[in-house]
Amino acid sequence: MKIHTIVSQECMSVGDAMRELDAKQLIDTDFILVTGDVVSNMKLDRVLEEHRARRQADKSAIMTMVLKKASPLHRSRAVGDGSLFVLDQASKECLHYQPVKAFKSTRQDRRLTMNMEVFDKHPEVQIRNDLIDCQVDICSVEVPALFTENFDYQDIRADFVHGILTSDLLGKTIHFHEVSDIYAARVRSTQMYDAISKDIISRWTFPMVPDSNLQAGDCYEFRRGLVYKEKSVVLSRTSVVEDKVVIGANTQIAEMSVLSNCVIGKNCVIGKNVKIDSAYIWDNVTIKDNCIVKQCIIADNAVLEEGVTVSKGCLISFNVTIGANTTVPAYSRLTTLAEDADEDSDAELVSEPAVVGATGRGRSFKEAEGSDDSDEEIDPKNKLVNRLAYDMTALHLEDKAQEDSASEFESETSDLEEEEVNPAEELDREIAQTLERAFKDGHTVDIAALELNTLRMASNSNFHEMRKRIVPSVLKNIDVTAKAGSGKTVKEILVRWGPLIGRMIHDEADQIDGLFILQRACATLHNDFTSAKAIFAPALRYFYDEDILEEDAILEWYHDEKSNQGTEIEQKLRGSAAPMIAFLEQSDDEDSDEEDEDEDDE
Amino acid sequence: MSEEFDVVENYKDLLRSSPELSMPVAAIQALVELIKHSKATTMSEFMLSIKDASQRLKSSVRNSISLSAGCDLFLRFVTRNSHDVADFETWKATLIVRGQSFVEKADACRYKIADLGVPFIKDGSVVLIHAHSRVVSLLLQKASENHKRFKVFVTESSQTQGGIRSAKMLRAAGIPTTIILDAAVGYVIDKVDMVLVGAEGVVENGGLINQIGSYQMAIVAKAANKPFYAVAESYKFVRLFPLNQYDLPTYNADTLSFQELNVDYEARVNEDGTIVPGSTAVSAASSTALSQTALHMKTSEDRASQGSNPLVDYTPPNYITLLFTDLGVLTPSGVSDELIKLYL
Amino acid sequence: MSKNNELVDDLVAKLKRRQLVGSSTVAQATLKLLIVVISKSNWTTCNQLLTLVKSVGQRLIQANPTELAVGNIIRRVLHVIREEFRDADVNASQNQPEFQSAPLTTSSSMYNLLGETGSTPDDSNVQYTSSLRSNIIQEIREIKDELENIYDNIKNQASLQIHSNEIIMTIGRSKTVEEFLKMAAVKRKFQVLVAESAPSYSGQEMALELSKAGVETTVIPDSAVFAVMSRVNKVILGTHAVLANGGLVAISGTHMMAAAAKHHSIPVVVCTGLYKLSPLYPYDEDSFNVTFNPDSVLGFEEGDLIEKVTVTNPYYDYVSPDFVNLFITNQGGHPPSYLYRLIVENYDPNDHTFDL
Repeated sequence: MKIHTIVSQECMSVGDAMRELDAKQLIDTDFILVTGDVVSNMKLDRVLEEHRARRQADKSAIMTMVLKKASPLHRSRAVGDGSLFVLDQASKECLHYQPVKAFKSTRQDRRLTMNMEVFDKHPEVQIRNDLIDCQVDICSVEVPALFTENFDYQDIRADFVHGILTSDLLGKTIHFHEVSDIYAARVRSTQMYDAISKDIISRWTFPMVPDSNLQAGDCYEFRRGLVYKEKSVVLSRTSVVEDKVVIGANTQIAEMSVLSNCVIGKNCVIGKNVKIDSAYIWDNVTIKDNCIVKQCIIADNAVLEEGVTVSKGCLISFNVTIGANTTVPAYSRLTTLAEDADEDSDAELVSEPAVVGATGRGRSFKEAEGSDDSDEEIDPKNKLVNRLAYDMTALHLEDKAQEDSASEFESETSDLEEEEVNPAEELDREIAQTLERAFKDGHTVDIAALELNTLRMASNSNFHEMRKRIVPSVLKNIDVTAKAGSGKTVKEILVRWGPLIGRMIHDEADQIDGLFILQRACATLHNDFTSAKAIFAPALRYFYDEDILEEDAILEWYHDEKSNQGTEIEQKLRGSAAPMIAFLEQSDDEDSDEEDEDEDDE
Repeated sequence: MSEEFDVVENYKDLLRSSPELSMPVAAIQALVELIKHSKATTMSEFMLSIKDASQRLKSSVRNSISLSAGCDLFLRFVTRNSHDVADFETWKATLIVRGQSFVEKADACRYKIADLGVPFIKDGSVVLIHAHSRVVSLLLQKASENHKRFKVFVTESSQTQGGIRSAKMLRAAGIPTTIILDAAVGYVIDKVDMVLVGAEGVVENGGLINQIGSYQMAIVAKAANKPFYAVAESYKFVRLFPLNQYDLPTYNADTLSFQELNVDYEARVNEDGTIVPGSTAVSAASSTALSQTALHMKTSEDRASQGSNPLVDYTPPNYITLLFTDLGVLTPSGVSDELIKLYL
Repeated sequence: MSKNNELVDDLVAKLKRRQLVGSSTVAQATLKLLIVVISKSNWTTCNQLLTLVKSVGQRLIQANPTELAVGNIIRRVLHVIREEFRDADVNASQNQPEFQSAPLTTSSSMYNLLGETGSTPDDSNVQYTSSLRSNIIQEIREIKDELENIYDNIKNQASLQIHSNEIIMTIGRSKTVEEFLKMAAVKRKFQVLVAESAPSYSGQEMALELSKAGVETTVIPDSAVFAVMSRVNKVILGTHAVLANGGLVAISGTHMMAAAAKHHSIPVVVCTGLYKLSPLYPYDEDSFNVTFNPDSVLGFEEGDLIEKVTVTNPYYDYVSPDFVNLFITNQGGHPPSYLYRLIVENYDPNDHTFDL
């Protein structure tokens, strides 16, 4: 087996690398594509055979992905980078792919959009969220060329697979091979590093386990309780090695120290009374007495002085020194690289005593801002989720943010189809917008009425609902203190927009209802009675004059008990209508007298 | 002529000057010394003198199986090499050279055995040992140097105080040791992972002759399903085939006889070993019995009235799991094979 | 020389990655390699050759310490080499009577304590001849032949051991036992109960093979072994390796079957080739065990559970020699107490722990 190494400075993604390979024309057969961080004990012969057989039969089968079945909450699934696969078991074809984020902030994140034509050829599909994507692919020789054709393909799954499957033109198919009894996973984040290390220690990756001594020079021995220890390790008499521990060559553990669930590299010196739990300690590390190290990664040559406590989620990089009796805050990332250090510059490291202690050496690492050139917004929570020791209980703090994003969604106005949001609110909004437009643009009453009617029909609403909203809306435009000529006085608004309200009122019931609405609207719009009356009375008059509201309805309304209930202002408004009522009743009598007289005349 | 050289004195000197020397090796060395000083001129005279010296050694130290084994082996060595006698003097010289190397090899046996036994001591195990055995202590010290972490229970063996000597040695090497009563073996056996004893002699069927109490420990170990390992240098293999405890050459009529009628219950032993009799008058016979058993007693609680208690017992081979010897690790059935090779 | 290294590296890699497993396959691969290495290397003295074989052996044993067959073959070959040199030595020089009884002695026996201080065949200046080389290769080929004909020698003893209308119990899949039972079936009519040996379920394959050969077979779950044992006449077992004290390293479940048999006073017979006999002792029960992937015990998909539960899947069992009554080997039948003899005959004591 020969190994060719190709180094490229400009490759930023799998896509770039594939394009480079295509340019170099190095590959002339089907090939296996894996990432460097894959951990597996898979035997590929069966998958290869299947792939080859398929290629013989059908040249458009360009790729076979290897997928492993695991439950959705499995620890070896990257929390932040989930995948949704739509598969056809009969033909072993993958029909659709979608990446799934842990925190979904946009609409797209929450939805799966598929091409319906897929179902023509595949009547039965499975939509799977329980697969670990091993990112071990058997690719045909055409794959690099496809990357060159579509030069914006970067990621092999999100872009390539998604693209190929959603494109109608190419007509290529992608297949899958599901495995359940072998182990495969990618170390994509510190959380996965933790999970996969635990899997290796628990021997899920057998025979790729530490005591197989696959690396030359190792001589690990396996002991019950999942303890792997090299022969040259020196354990003091009172030290306690609990279970799931790996200890490398020449490491010394002093008295009273307790180790559990950890991996310790070669040539480490661990002092007295140190407690190490769920941590990953690399080579040549010195940990002095009385330290507590939990759920963190400590890289080569680091030194922890006496009494240091390293909290969970920390990443302590090469050569960092933590001063005595310091508590390193949770999720810190410490480095000895100087800030803004290029390869040429000799920038000096400025240590931060807050994180590394007074005598320590190291600073907090901050990621460079704005390094993303993609315009899609990556929810920062999605990055955090991949951290070591990320605690799902930390979600409580971010619950509020979740609610915010839900309401953000509701304020989007895109689709009219779904109405899972409150229709009333929607209608409110629609009407408000329509009216606003009308007022602003000075539409005629006809046009406004047309629009409102359309709205009414589209939302399957009724006039009552419309009235409820239109009346206050219109009345809102009235400025009680305005001068004549401004277009905002009661009279002017009524003249201008009154007819619109009229269009919403037809029979007597509508009128009565309208009156109630008017009463309420006026009362609600203004807190004091004077202003309310200033609108109510003229409005009443106007509507009567225009025959929008007839006297029978007015009388009906006045005598209805409900008009006297409600707020104080409402009651007063009713009271202010009294003179009119009196007038109406009088004219009633006169009318009836007239009629009688008519009858008498005959 | 050979009276000028006192082999027994020489033997005792050797033991005094190097306390780490085991008795049989010291005996063999004394016999080699004898050859050097021998003024015999003929083969038969020579052989006779050696046999005689061997006899005297054996009788000077009572109850020592290992000493007898060593002497017999040396005798066999001489006899075997007596065939090609061209020139008596040169032959004597060769004999001395070979004898010296024999002594050296014999002494180095111990270290070979320690190396063989170390892998059997697991990290974190508890070992039960009996009284004091140089080889066993060496084995445990070697295991400790190999960074094995283990604890030791040692039986007190009040008669010889061997347990206390062992404990001192092991504690000095940093091994946590607890001294238990001989009677407490059954009590501790469930806490123990293996039992390790030395040997005075190994008999033909693979059985063990060792300090009194070994047989008991073997029975308890078997009942509790714990492995019982014995450590023996190859020169301790003897041509004996005891069928029961009383077939041993160390047995005599006095052993555990009911002769304690005139026992002095108040007798005490001084530091130097002399006995201060109590008020009760004691007969001569039992006072010799006293002196014999009081040879090794130091504490004041000892009851000189124990009568003649045996110093060694015989453990049948079916109780022994494995024997660590310088010839390798052997199962009890493999011992007879080795013996046959020697005496064929 | 480098070609040899390549071959050794290749075998080492296969052993480490467990691409080569099983005593028989491993033993044959080791032999093939040794034949090539010995015939293609330059050596003139015994020491040189021994060092060469030991260095190769050390690498192979370290690659997979639980495949004891590798070490056994290496030790057989070393023994053969020493013998050949000794014979050549004896023929060359006639004045060393002590070594004439060579078959019985080993270089570190008490016998040697009494004998010469000096020469062992290692140091002797034996005249190197090409016939010596070919003799050694010839001997090694004979070992290879022996390996290939193991089943014949063992199965010929079958009709002595099994009688008509007997009920035999076995566990797991062993080629040796399978051949043994098939041969017996030719002349005798008997029944076989096979424990299925979870989680590998190799017992089921065994049952299939036996029934194809016309033997009346029943598969029982491992838990039923004790219950059924009272009606069994004999227990016949295969094994992965035999240790120097007569103990077995056999498939998981064997200890249980042997203990049940002992409880009911039923004879336990082990069929094994001598290449499985190792001169090592079991320092503890875990010495030669391999813990496999726990997937077959608790599936990896049970994400919730695997966080909270440790699952182990030890492949082998250690069976103490008290449980075994008879070993049927290609050199006849022997009780466990006789094994030391076979070890002395086939291996040199200097080679027992050469890899440590």
